[in-house]
Amino acid sequence: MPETRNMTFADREEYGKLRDAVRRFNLKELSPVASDCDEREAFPVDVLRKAASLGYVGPHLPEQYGGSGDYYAKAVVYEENCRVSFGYNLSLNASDLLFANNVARHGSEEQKQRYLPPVIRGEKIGCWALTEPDAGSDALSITTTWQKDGSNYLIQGRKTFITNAPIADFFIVIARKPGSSKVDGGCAFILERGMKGLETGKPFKKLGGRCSPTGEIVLDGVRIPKDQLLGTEGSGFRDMFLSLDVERSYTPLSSIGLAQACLDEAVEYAKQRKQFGKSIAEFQLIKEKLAVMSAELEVARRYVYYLIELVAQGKRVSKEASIAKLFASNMVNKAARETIQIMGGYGYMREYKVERYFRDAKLLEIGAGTSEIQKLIIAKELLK
Amino acid sequence: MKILVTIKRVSDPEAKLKIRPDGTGIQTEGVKFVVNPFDEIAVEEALRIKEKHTGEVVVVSIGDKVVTEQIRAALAMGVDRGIFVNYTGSYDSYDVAGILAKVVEQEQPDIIILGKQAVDDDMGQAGFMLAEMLGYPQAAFASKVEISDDKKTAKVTREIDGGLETKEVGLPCIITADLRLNTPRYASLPNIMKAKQKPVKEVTVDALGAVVKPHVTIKKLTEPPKRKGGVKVESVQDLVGKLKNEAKVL
Repeated sequence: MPETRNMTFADREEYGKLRDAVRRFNLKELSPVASDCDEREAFPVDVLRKAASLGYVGPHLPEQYGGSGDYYAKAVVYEENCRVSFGYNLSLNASDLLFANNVARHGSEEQKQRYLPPVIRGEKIGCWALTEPDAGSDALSITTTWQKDGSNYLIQGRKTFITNAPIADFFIVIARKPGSSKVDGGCAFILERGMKGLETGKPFKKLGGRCSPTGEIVLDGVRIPKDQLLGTEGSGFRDMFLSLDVERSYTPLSSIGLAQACLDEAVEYAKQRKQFGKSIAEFQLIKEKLAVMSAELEVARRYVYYLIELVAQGKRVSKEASIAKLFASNMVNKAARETIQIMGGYGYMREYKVERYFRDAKLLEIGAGTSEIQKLIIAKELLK
Repeated sequence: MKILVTIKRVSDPEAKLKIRPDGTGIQTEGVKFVVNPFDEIAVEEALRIKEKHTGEVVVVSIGDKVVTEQIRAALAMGVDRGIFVNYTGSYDSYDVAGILAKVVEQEQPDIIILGKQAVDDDMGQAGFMLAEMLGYPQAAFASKVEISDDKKTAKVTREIDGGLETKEVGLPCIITADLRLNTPRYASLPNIMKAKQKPVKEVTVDALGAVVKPHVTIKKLTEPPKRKGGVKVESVQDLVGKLKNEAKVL
C-alpha cells in the first residue's frame, strides 16, 4: 500500500503485525475465559501475566523499566483487548496507564524503579484513586486530606468506585490540604497494600465490566514517609489534569474495540440467520443497521487514531480527547443496541457475547468523565 | 549451530474458501494468509534449539513478493534473518525441494526443519525429496527433538501406531515437524519491532542455479458434494434396519 497523507500509525506494517499478534493471543488466551470471568466477576490474572511476558502490558512506559516507550503500541493493544474483553482491559489500564503512567510522568527515579518493573511484568497491579462518595465530576471537591506529621504525611479519607481497589498492590491516592479549596492544595501519594490504616472493601456488584473488580479504599490515618509523595507538594491536581487528558484519549479506544466486536457479531449473525426463506442480511432494514454501524465506527476510529498521534507527539489534547470520547461512547452504545436488535432473542441471552458488550458499553458514557462533562469541556475550549 | 527453516504462505486454515470458476485454484481475494501451521511449529523448534545450543535461525520462503509478510512473521517470532526466493511461476514439490537444495548448498546449515506438510495442498513430499537430493539423513514427523551436547547428532521421536519411535541421525540432517512437537510462541512486542531491522535477502531461482520444471500440475479442484438432508427414524429397530440394509455398516 503506498503511503498517503491520510495514513496513521495504525496503517504501518509493524502495528498491523502487532495487531495480528495481540488478536491471536487474545483469541487463544482471553476469549475462552472472558464470559466465564464476567459471570464469576473474577479478573483473569493469568492472562495478564502471559500478556506481560510478551510486552503487551505497559508498552507505552519507558524502555529502561521494561516497557517499549511506544504510545502507538499501547493504542493497538488497548483496542484489541476491548474487542475481546472490555473488563480485562479496564483493570489492565488502571494498572499500566492510570497508575504506572502517572508514576512514569511525575515520579522520582527511586519511585520509577520500585513501581514500574513489577507492573510491566504483570506481577503487581496498580490503581488510581480520585473519586469519593461526594466527589466525582467535581474533582476539586474531594475531602480526603493530607497533613504533615514530622517527616511523614498523614492521610485521612475515603475513595470509592476505584477500578482494581480490591486487588491492587499499589495505589495512587489524590488528597488535599485541610482548609484549602483551590487547585494548589492537592497532592498525590503512592500507597502500598499492607500499610497500616489502608483497607479496601469487597468488589461492587456492577452492570458491566464485571471481571474488573471495583471498590472502595478506606484511609484511616495512613502514615507514610515523605518519599511516597508523587510529584511535588501542591502539584497533585495540576499533574492529574495533565494525566487525565492522556487517559481520556485512550478511553475511546474501548468504544472502538467493543463496537468492532459488536459489528463482527452482527455481520456474522445476519448472514447465518434465515427468516422468510432467506438470510436476514438480505433485508434492507438490517443492511441499514450494519451500514450505519460500520460508517460510524470507521469515522470514530480514524479520529481516535488521530488523537493518539497528537498524544504521542506530546500535544495538548483537551478538546480533541473530549470530542473523541463523547462521539465514540455514543457510537458504541448505539452499535451494541443495534446488534442486540439484529440478533433478537438470541442477543438478549447471556449465552451470547453481545449481552455482555451491551452492558460493558454503558460505562463508556460515565467513566473517565461523563458525556455531559465532555460536552462542557468542548464548549469551554470553543468559548475561550 | 545454524538451523534453516522453510516456511510456506498458505490461506488461513480457518478461512472459508471458494474455488475459482475455472476450477484451477481457490479465490484468493479477501482471504487472509498465514504461515503454514506446521512450518510455524518448525520455526518454534528451531528457536528452542538455538536458545539451548546457541547459533542462528534462518527462514526461507518461495513465491512472489507477498511471501515476505510470512518471512517477517517468522522474524517477529525471533528468527534472525530471512531468504526470499522470488519466483512467481507454477511449481510442484519436486521443484520446491530442488530450490531448497540450492539454498542449503549456499547456507550450509547443520539442521533443516520443515513442516511435515503444507495445509493448503497437503502434498507432504518436499522434506523427503530434499533429503534424497542432498543425501542427508532424515527424521520425519517429529514429536520430540533432542540435539546431542557435542552437536553431532539429533535424537528424534515420532508418534507411530501404538507407541513412539526414536531414531538418531547424524548432522546435517532433515527434520519434519508434526503437530505435537511444540506450541509455537506468540510474537512479542519487542520482537515485532525488531523484525523490521532484520535482513531479508532476495534471490532468484536462476541465481540459485535451480531448475523449475513441474512434473505435477493441478487439473481441477471441485468442492465436496453438498450433504443431503438426513431422515428421522421412528424407532431403534428402524435405525438398525437402515444401518444393516441401506448403509450396510452392520
